[in-house]
Amino acid sequence: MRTTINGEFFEFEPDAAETAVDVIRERAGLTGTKVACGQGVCGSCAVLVDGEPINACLMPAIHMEGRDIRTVEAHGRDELHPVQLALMANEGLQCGFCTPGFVMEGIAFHDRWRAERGRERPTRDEIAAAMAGHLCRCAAYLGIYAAIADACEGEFDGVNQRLGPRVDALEKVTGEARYTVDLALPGQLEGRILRAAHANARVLSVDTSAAEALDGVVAVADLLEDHRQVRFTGQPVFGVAAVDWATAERALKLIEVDYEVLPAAIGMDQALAESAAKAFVGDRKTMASAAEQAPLPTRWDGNVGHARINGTSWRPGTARRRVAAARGGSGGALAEGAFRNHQQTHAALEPHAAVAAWEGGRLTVHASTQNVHHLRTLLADKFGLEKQDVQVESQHIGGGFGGKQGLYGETVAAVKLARAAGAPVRVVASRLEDLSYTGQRSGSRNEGAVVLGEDGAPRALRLHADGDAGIAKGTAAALLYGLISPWVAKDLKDRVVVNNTPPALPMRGPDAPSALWTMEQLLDDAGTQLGLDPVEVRRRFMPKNDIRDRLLDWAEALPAWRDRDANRGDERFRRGVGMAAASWVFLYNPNVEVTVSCDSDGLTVACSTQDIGNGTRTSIAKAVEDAIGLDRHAVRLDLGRADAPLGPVTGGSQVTASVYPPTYRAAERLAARLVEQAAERLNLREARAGRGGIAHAGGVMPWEEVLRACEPVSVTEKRVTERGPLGLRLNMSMDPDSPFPGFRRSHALVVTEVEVDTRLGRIRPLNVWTGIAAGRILVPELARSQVFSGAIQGMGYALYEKKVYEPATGHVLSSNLNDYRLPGIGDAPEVHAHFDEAGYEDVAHGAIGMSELATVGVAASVGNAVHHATGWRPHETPILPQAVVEGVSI
Amino acid sequence: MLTRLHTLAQASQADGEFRAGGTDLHDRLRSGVSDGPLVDIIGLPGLDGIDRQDDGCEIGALLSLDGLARNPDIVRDYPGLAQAAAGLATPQIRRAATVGGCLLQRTRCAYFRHPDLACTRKGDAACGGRKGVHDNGVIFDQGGCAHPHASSLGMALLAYDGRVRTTEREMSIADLYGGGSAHDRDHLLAPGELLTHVLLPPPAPGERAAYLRAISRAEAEWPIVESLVRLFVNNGTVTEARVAAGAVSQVPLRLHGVEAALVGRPAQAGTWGAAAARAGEGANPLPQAAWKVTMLERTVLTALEQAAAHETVQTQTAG
Ligand SMILES: Cc1cc2nc3c(=O)[nH]c(=O)nc-3n(C[C@H](O)[C@H](O)[C@H](O)COP(=O)(O)OP(=O)(O)OC[C@H]3O[C@@H](n4cnc5c(N)ncnc54)[C@H](O)[C@@H]3O)c2cc1C
Ligand code: FES
Ligand code: FES
Repeated sequence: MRTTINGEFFEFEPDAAETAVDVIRERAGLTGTKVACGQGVCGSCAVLVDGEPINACLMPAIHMEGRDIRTVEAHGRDELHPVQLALMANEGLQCGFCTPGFVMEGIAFHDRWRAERGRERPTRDEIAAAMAGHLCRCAAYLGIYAAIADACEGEFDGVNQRLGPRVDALEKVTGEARYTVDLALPGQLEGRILRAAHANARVLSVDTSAAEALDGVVAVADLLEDHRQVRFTGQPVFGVAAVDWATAERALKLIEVDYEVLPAAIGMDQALAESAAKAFVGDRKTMASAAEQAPLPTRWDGNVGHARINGTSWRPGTARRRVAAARGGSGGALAEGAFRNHQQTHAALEPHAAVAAWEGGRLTVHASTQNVHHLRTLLADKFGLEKQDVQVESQHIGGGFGGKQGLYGETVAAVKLARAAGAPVRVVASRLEDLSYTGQRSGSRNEGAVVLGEDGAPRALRLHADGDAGIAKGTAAALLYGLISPWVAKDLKDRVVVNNTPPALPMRGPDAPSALWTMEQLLDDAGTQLGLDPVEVRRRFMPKNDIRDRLLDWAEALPAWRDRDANRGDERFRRGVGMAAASWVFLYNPNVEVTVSCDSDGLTVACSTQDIGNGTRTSIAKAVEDAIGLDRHAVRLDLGRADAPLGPVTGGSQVTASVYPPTYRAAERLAARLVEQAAERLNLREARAGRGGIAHAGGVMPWEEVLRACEPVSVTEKRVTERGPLGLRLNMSMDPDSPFPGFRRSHALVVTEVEVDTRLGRIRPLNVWTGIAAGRILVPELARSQVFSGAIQGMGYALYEKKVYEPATGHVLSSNLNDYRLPGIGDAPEVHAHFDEAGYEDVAHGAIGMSELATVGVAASVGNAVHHATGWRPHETPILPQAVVEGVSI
Repeated sequence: MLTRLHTLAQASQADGEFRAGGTDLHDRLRSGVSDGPLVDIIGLPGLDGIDRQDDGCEIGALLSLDGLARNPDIVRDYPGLAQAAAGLATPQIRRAATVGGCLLQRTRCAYFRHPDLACTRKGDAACGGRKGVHDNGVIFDQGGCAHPHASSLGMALLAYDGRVRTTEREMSIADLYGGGSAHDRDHLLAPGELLTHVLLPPPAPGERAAYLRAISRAEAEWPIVESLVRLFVNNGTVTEARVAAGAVSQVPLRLHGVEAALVGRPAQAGTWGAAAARAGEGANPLPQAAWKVTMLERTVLTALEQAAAHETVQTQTAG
């Protein structure tokens, strides 16, 4: 059979079930085309077939016969299309995994548009309709809209280089960027995981003989640890490595497992029931934790783990008395209620994946991870190796959102299988596995109360948070709320309800969205009782704080806020505007080191951190640019390698705050060393480091030239610890308004406008204004991207995303991207970012992190907006049409 | 194993599942829900056109949904059908998917699509969703499988009195799906029976149509419920009506109660409300899906209002 791929004839004999994407990726080795769902939903696999975008994941390979196939590789760095240039210039991407699909669809749309409509600017709706078959989990949709519209208008005609703010965008728009799923080491085998068929069972025996006898199977590996016990459906049991995916799949079906099935509790409701099965029997110290911090000391009562102390509670007895008094009608305004949040899945478009290879006693792992450095430590511990005998690498990572910080099943399987097979093994989670078994944001049931005095000042707060982290401990919504709420009597309690579903993991701003969903909605209600509008009640809620007050002033002045009672839509489509205040702790890693070195070819920064789409590469390169004026695109980056100087996890909003300061200092020191050298060798008079090069009596010598003339120099700098009171070394610095020494908080205010179709139950987010006070914004384009994606991912949490378990078997029903509903481009509201940059001058470069801050308050603002629009208060996320139709009377 | 059909005559001997665009089939093959030999039919000649004659319209089974939605004859004379085809899935899917495949696709129930869960349509004795999760389940329950039929096009063609031609026979759309009691199948064609054409009667003078799906994301969303309405109005009175609903039962349904409440009534607001209120007549919803009855009434109401506001179809004589 013959087809044409990127202008070249390609001959092959397809298998019956082979698809075009198999041919393109496996046979032709063109890995720019991605597979993220295999179902026609996400568009990552889009290629042009006779000029029209088609899902290659569903296209039968034989339908390629005689057709002209074009992949992203046809538009390499020398043949960039205006759409690619526009995507780079407009920040139309983050991790880049969805980007080749958007590029191909965008090119087809652009070319057709120009032929039919010339340089007219397409509307948002026209672009959304054309891009409807594409998902971007990083939610770079606003950049994509702008990019496509600009390209259609001709802004990039005849332009051949415009790199835009992000230093690795070119690799991403051309499909050059290689992700773990794209790797093909010589002799590499494909690993698949046999997963437990029951939610709670003992494995009595496993017979792999038939599987091992299958042609093409090279190795099997036991993945059961923990005393042959499985505690959730889908837990890894055995691994198989074979010559290809299909053979490995066939082998899995031949493995016979004999289980002793035990009663299970699936989800928190079952686990709380009267006669609930015991979800976890055994040593609870070995239980997984969903927390980024050390889990709270816990007292266990069946499936329920009570946090022994809540360090952020304060006079809880007083709080209880005040709530009771208010309930009795005295002592101010009381709002209280029960709220619920379903689990949200990270759903990074690049699934969890690892490639492992052993060479003698040395192990190399390529993994889609947010923490190469820590993963090396975990691997060394687990496999009894010295750290220097383990290498972990990760160049491009197709999204993480908190779900890729540790050592998980697919990596363990790859390592064990590679050792057993004596060959490299790749394990890639299928979309079903990824959406089912690789972690999720905890669900919650919260009980909250807010008591305000007649003057609007807070008198008492209550948050009793039950967390559903599956078969894991570590939820801490109440504890966290204690850190970001005012210092009044508060009765805070965390309970984790352990049950036989997969363990939860942190996800962007862990626990905070649910705490704010409860408390910020109650705050609005309590304010209403006192006749205080949402701005005023928030002004009085927190002790006076200039930063927060400036944000409130900003929100109050927004025309949409001012006119919110005038713009109410019509009878059916009601409009409303709501707000939520949020706050976040400031983290950085004081042990981070970077090495900046140079030789005659250029300047390189080495650090073992990684770029998951957040823009680590760009933050580092920008630090060099800011320090010495070398263009960021000229900075070479050596990241994603565990043996480089210690870098931060891409999590906790700490990357920029951890890497920017040491990079900046190292670049400055390196420049000073170059100045010394140059002055001596080249006889430059009055030489000093200037912007872009060495300034001297005779002019400026650009850095490129300086480097060619100088001996190599290398400088390593560590992130200096900011010291708190008493000289304590703290990861976090002082906040004047916080009772906890060492906590410095950032602030956000989110204002959201929604339109509610009261008849058919659809809530459309129209506009989000996000005010961020996190100090100086070091890389404005990246910060805006984070605000946009924070708002849109927050919409997913508020309106669409819900992990659903089969109540009897524990399988996951929302295990494909039809049933697990991510926000699409047409769902993206307009997002307006506002940065208030003052107030953190005591921190290095005056800047603290903001990525999580940008998302945690979004759902609460939607809840308040829906209430403003309809008078009905939503209690559960996602707010589905059913709830609207049942809740709002028409 | 793969066979490729080049002539219709080969169809009956072919052993395996037919593959047209493959957009439904390959989803199932990839997840392991389906396997077995395949019979590729994309190369069959002459099945991808539209033939509009005075006495109706003949649509080839291999025509793409995009081709259907954009065809000027369809847009003009069968606007509800064009809207339904243009409103489903994504642009890429509509380019690859065929009319035949859309009618004969398998259910989108999460239990069916999950390789490890039980489902009558996969040959298991019981439906997992009936005991388990079925908040998007049927509200006109015919027993067995708890999930509604997937085909938006099937629903639309029901309202257009469509028929299908196969390599063996000709039958109505209603007969293609039957009463919903064949719980292991999504349509009633025999193995080896190939759908070749969809046949439509000519549109009636003075008719107006509207298609509406209730969804909560902007695009690429499977409907909670969907409806297609055709109104025939003469001198301000509804003389005839066709109202079909999808995502409500194991097969697409005509809503006869709504139709009866329309005929003979003035074409005005009060009529739409009274008629739509009968949309749930005879409903016996599964417990978690009961809320969809209200959704259906409201969707039908909205579709009626939209149809009434639309231009009438300007029937033209073909050729
Ligand atoms: C994101 C997404 C959203 C979607 N939303 C909707 C929606 O809202 N409404 C909707 O209706 N659909 C929807 N679909 C499904 C889509 O319409 C179907 O996948 C498509 O129509 C199937 O057509 P195909 O030609 O690719 O069929 P195939 O995958 O090739 O075949 C489907 C089935 O039909 C059989 N078949 C096909 N042609 C014939 C024939 N001529 N004779 C006999 N048997 C035949 C095949 O054997 C197979 O069993 C959606 C799909 C996706 C991916
Ligand atoms: S991989 Fe093909 S559409 Fe998602
Ligand atoms: S950039 Fe789109 S998924 Fe990451």
